[in-house]
Amino acid sequence: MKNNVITIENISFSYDSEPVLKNINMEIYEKDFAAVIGPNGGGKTTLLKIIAGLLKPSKGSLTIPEKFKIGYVQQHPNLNREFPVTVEDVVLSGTVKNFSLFPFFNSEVKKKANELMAKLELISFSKMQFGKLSGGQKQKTLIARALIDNPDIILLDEPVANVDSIAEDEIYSMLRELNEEKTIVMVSHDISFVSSAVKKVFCVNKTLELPETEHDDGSLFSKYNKTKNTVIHKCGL
Amino acid sequence: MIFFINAFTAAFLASIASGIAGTFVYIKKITFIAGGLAHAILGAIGFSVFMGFSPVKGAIIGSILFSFLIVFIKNLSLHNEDTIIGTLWSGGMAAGILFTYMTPGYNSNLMTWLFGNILMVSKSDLIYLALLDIAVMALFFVFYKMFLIISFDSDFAIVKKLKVSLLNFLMFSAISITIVILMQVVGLILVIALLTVPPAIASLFSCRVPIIIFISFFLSLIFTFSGIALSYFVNAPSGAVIIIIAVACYFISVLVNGLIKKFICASKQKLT
Repeated sequence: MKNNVITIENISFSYDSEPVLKNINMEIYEKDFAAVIGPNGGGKTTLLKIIAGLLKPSKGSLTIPEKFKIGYVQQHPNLNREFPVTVEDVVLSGTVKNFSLFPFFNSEVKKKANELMAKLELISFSKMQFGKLSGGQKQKTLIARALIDNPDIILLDEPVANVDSIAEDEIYSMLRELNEEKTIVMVSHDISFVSSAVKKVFCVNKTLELPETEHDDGSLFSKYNKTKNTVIHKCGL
Repeated sequence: MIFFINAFTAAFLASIASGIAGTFVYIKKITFIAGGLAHAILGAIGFSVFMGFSPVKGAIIGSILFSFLIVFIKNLSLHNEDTIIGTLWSGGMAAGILFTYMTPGYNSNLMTWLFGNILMVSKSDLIYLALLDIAVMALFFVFYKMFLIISFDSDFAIVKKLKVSLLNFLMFSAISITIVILMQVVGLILVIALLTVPPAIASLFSCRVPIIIFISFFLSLIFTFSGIALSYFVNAPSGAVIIIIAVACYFISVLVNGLIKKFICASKQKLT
């Protein structure tokens, strides 16, 4: 029996009086790999931000048991390119907690950061300014920052937007590997990756357009007797 | 001679605080907020003078209160946050002028806060400046890692459950205490330049915050020391001379940096 990791009940959200999400219900279990898909302006990122605790829903409830630690990977273009931090600084910042006082990191944390950077092929850029990296390298740095604190749930906002195709493959294979131990929720536009690798799909266009669709016998959409094209059409992709 | 020694000591103390706090103002892109704080503090100074309190103590209490107010305004996530801070900016200045106007014989005092007069710094002022310096250094040293995260990616800090509002309040308080220190050196009107020009130059040459802080400190030291010396020889207000030197150095640095980059690009193209 799998544990419930994220439970969303009847969540609605509005920016001022403009409704963005209406009556969303979702259940995500341990080691799920869930994708939130939908058209632009459909509320995908808003839903992810609610799960991450960045936005408070105007109605409904979100439950994530205390024991589960969250790692959040936002889209890198939202960050200041000129900010004077190196790749190593960014990765190390993932270990900072309340009362992480003084400017120093201990050698154990530094060793862990080096191991992660080596695994993600970032080690040769470790002293380079974050803003000067390519899109793929930036995204991998943000993933390393989320991973260094060993989270149970990883939330990613369009992890392959603004990256080249080689980095895209690397990031996807890393996510598959991570899913062996961790729960992943990802906002995505990439329907082909979603249909081949993801275990659950939530199609959000202000409301949940389709009941949750799951993998069954290797085919993501077969359980609810829906073809990939119906899902694409229904989700407005 | 003693007023010169006091002036250089004040400039040294001001450079330490401005090197550290200015770097965070620059990287967090909160120059407008810092300007709002500086002008609001003038209201607190005017009120203290009117009530017969020490203006420095009034400025410090005011700076902490206004830091709290700015964090409160930011937390409301209003679309017109800029307008509210702008209103605080003008309102604080207007209140400062009004309170001073209502206090007989204090108009010259207001001019000192507006334009600074480093040559008038007394020994007791230096003790205040040193204590404020220690407070600023301690805050940035203790909370450095957390200040860096909320400056770079506050969303990530919220997900990590850091106390972002409290940290913003502490950082803004440290910045406004620095503003109080700098007001005595260059005055309110010029305080923003001394807070932002040194880190703006330093960031052209380094991508590490601790190095930017050190370069900013040395640049502030050069600007204030040379400004004081030059103002003596040309018989001009020291605050204005300090800022003219700083601004001239900024434009020269941008130009030199641009030329160096152009030269490197041209060399790379030749090689390929």
